[in-house]
Amino acid sequence: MSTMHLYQGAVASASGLAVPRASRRHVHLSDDPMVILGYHLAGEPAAPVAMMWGRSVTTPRLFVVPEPRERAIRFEALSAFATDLVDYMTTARDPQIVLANAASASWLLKFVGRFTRYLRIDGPTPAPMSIRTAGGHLTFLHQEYETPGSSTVLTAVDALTMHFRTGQMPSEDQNLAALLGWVRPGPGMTGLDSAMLAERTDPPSGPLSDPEWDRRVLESAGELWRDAAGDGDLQRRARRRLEDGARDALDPGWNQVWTTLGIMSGIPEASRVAARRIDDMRRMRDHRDRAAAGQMFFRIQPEAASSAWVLQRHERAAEQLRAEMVLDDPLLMAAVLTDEPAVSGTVIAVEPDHFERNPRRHRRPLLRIRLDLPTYATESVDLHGVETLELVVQVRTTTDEIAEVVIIKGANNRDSDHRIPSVGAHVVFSPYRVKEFRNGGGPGDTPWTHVLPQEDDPVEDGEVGTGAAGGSGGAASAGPSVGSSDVGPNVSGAAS
Amino acid sequence: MSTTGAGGLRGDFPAATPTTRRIAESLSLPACERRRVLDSEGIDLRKLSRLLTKDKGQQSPFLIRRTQQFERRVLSNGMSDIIDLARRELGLLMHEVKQTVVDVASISDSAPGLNQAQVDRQRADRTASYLRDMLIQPSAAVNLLQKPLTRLRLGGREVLVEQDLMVCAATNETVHLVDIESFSEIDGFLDPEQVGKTMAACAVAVISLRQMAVAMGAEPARISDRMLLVTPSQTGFTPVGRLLNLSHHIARLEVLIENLDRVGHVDEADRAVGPVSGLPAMPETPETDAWEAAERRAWEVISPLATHLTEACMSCPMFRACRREAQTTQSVTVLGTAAAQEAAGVASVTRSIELAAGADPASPAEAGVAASLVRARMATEAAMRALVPAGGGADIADGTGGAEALDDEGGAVS
Repeated sequence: MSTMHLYQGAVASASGLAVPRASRRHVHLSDDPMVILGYHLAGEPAAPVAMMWGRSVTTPRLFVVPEPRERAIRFEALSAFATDLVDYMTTARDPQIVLANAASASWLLKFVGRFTRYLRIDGPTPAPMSIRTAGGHLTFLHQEYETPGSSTVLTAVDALTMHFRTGQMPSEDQNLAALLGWVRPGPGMTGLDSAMLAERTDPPSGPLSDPEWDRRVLESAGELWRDAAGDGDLQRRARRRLEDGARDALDPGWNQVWTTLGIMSGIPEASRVAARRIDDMRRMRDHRDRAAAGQMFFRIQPEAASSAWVLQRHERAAEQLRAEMVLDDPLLMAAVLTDEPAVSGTVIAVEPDHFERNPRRHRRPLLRIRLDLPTYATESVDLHGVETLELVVQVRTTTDEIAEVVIIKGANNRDSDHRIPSVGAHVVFSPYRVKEFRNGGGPGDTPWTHVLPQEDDPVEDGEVGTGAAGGSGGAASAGPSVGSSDVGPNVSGAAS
Repeated sequence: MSTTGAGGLRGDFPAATPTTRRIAESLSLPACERRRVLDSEGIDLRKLSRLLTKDKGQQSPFLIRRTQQFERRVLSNGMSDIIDLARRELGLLMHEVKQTVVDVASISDSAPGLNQAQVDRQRADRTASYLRDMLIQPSAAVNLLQKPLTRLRLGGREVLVEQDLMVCAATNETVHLVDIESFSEIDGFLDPEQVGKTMAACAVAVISLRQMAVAMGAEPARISDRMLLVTPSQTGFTPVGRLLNLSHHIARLEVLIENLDRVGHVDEADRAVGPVSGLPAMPETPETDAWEAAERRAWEVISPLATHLTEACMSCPMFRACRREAQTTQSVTVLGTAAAQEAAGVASVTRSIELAAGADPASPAEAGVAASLVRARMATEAAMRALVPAGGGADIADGTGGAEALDDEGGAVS
């Protein structure tokens, strides 16, 4: 973290209001998003209890599962959601799934996706096809959620914390109600008051329900349901009671997610968001093609080489995203200026015909800049232009107020003179630059950590590389073959 | 721990038998004197937190039931699942299975009319005697011991430690721990956070068993650092086992326990509390005068005990109480661990703002932070000027703009 993180936190805490940490919106907002909220049974992510979803704030749909451990009832409830999700993922013009928080994303996209995408649709207890197809979409959405810069899946908490700093701990920001308390305090209240009140009174926005709600609503509805066995009327009444209870519990979270979208839409979009969205849509198109062809296959145990490739791709994307955001947003750049070598200020003099020897004579136009704040940059650091991306400069001399920089690339001959900033211009030079071409590079060399033993190497069980993909989706592959072959958190034998 | 009783810091407040998990948690917060002292007095932290914040801090009945169901399932049929997994994962031979239980019920059945402390003592004595047999004449001894209660020397005194769902499985050579947890293994993977907590708790159990072994004249290594973790697999209840190596956790916790011994924190606790003696009894109902009085009294007792609020504290039952205290004093710790580290040497949020505005630092420590804070303010002001060239917009540096600063710029918020 950075000094800016402390400074903004202190300002937020002292003023009782969250402060902007970004001045531009760095995520794309669809005009037709699908919001999904849900609860699962405590300790049993495979047992959804209630889910609320929909494409507008006023028309949420809801399902409840009065007997979460019973497969048939679970399927019946899930299929309504699955049908809507499949329809949305197939037809929406600008698809975007919005969830409450990271835990919800991990539960719904990763876990539910994992256990529905290979459900058997034949046999004695067939699952509805829609649930299986929805499982494939959820898994794709999980991949998107993990891709830096993708706006196909947003969580309200991530969106808000990316753009605001509260006066509380970042871990406390995971509570959407409390976080919103800081960003939009109640009338006459400070952010702290609002957050503390929300923490006490607002039901969680999922995926875990309030234990008190479990006891008061869920447990009694379940008892009612079981007692009514065989009696359709009574069972309907039990279900309705649970629906009412679930609506009471999920409504606040539902409204909070939509409020968050409203707040986000009030922030002007950063200039590089549109280009990133084009990448999102390209991946979405590929996915839709696979879905249409019935080819939505995902590995249960990721393969070593492809995991390494995905990691590389994500690392590159994260780096690129960071640079794009900083260059798009003066407030994010302020955090860079605080802690990193960078120059920000107003040009007060220009010497276009300045020359340097190293050892040959080079034309290196010189700028004298009145600094906004003293710079950490030294002579050997290359700094890149923010307003004019082609410019590369180095600091030559500096005091606390004035710096002299020379342009070493981008405006060194007569053809590029127009890039030299003029007197009076405000300029920022930072270590960040973006590659304006995208999607560069395929898989490079697989790092040694992800290389599996070759066929002629002795392998203990002789099973490596076969089996795990596709198929039943059941068997846990315990045993020694679960080694470094997964990008997920691997705890096998981990002692640290 | 639970041995002090009335008269110490606990006074008339309810006690709770410490679990390995709680001790491991406490050891992982070495900077927190408050937690250390409250734990060493065997105080029921959940009840204390309830008294101070009225927060019930309860668990879902479904989670409790699930844990019990899985435990029952694994322990049923003469623990055949555990025996099977122990043979497979630990490589134990166990030709002949001899098992016994030392839980509360087993003592109360044979000797009714004992109070909690007496039952605990009996359980600990029996555990010790079974362990002695396991180490000294293994061929004749019990080799599966369920729900042991062990002794641990901690900070200069002996405490009895509840082993949760633990089982000791013995061969001729070594005794192994078996821990049953209800979080699931999915596709061969377990939640690393849960596993980490479990391993820390089990390391405490191994340390306590080793201390007992040494007292019996046996080699500490006879208590193995390799343990068996039993969890449900995928979405069902079928148990799977996993061998875990605790040596790293044991080494780390042993150092922390040694440090505690050196500090001799029992004396320190007495000194810190000074003339103010024990906590009050737990009142019955909130919103009463009795409750308010007890709450005030409890604050008087615990506020001299130093704390250092971090994000790791969120799992501590006392979190909300300590947080409220930090909010009242405007401590920078309320901003989170990273920010508090950044602000090292600056006491309060208000002081950080003063320093950012250019106030003279009062100490060398403040001076370092002040320079950075001034930069942050200057950079923010420059950014705001760039964003609102007319110079009209709100300034977040003076705290008046806040979230609204964006609305001025970005138009109406729906």
